[in-house]
Amino acid sequence: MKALKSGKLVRTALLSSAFFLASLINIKVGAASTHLTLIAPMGIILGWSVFPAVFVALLLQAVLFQFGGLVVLGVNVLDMALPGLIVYIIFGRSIKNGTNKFLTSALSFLAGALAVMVGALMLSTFLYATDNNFLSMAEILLLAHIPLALIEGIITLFFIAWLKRSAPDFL
Amino acid sequence: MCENFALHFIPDFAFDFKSDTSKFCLVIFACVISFLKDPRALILASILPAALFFIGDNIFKKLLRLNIINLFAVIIIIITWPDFKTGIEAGILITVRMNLICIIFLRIGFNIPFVPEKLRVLIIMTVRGVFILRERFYASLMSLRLRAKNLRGLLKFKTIAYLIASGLLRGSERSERIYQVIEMRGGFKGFNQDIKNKFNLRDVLYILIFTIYAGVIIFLNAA
Repeated sequence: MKALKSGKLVRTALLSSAFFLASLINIKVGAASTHLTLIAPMGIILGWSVFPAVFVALLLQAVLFQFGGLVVLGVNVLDMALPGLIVYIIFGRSIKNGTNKFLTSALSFLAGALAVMVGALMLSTFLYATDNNFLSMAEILLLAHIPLALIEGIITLFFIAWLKRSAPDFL
Repeated sequence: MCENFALHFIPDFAFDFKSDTSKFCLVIFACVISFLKDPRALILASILPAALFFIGDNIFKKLLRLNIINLFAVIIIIITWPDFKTGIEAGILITVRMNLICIIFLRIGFNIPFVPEKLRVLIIMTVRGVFILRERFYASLMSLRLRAKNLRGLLKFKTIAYLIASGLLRGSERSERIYQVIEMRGGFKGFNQDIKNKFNLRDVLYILIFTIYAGVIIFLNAA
């Protein structure tokens, strides 16, 4: 919360709303289901403020739609926000200040895909740590997130490219 | 004169929101919401926070219209449900859950001492942001459908990404303006100015209704 400056409050809230809306669109992949997160763009734009943004979005989902739940809110926030922060630390500066178009696009794609895969890996680890019976479920979830990681990578690539061209201050 | 006479009989005492009781009640409330699938636990536990924490600013009056509309929905559910007993249970569960969610959102706008100011503003602006984005995306999607119907492959993802980015950018400008308007009108603290934390007769009635719900559920389970 300390990283959340008053000037960035509105932008954080709006990205939180975008995350909230994107998470509601579920994609069925076999037995499991996945959803868009937009966590990489959020991480790159917000930095450390990604934690309160994700917290608020997940709180609203838990209260309004019974997605997730209040008991697992903490672990869900960690699972969603930490990949965003990792992406910000690894790629944030290079994407924001990068002048090479091809390199920035490649990094954006990597950031998007990596954020989803880190999130999926963490989720699988949490499931496995809960009970050994969840091992097969964890494997299915991890595999189900691979196509989503590719989609998220492509969307992040074009998203960042558009923002860098049209509104570099927003980044 | 009659009005003043009636007001004289309404119990009128202040509730201290800064006390630890309010924190304790919020914790109970969070636990209750997390066990929403059990109607008995939900109703029994919801009476306490309703009595101690959430009443005091005419909650009954604010939720009256919503409950009247809900009543019709519940009647239809009870009539159409195959089993009468489970139908009543489902109806009560829906009513209580709806009331609790509305109370949470009514409470968010108020000054709760242990919730950071930034978080409160963030929640309010996020809820507002959802509607702003919906408005923006709806307009963009409509134009997209009219202009380009069958997008495939990379072009489809490119269009979606551009749509999200442009929607966010436009939404950001509108959000900033809304935030500035709220600040100009007294800021987010302005919500607290007209709140009188008083316990009145209608709030007693509200708790009484919840108690009756609890009684019905317990009776149905005992029978």
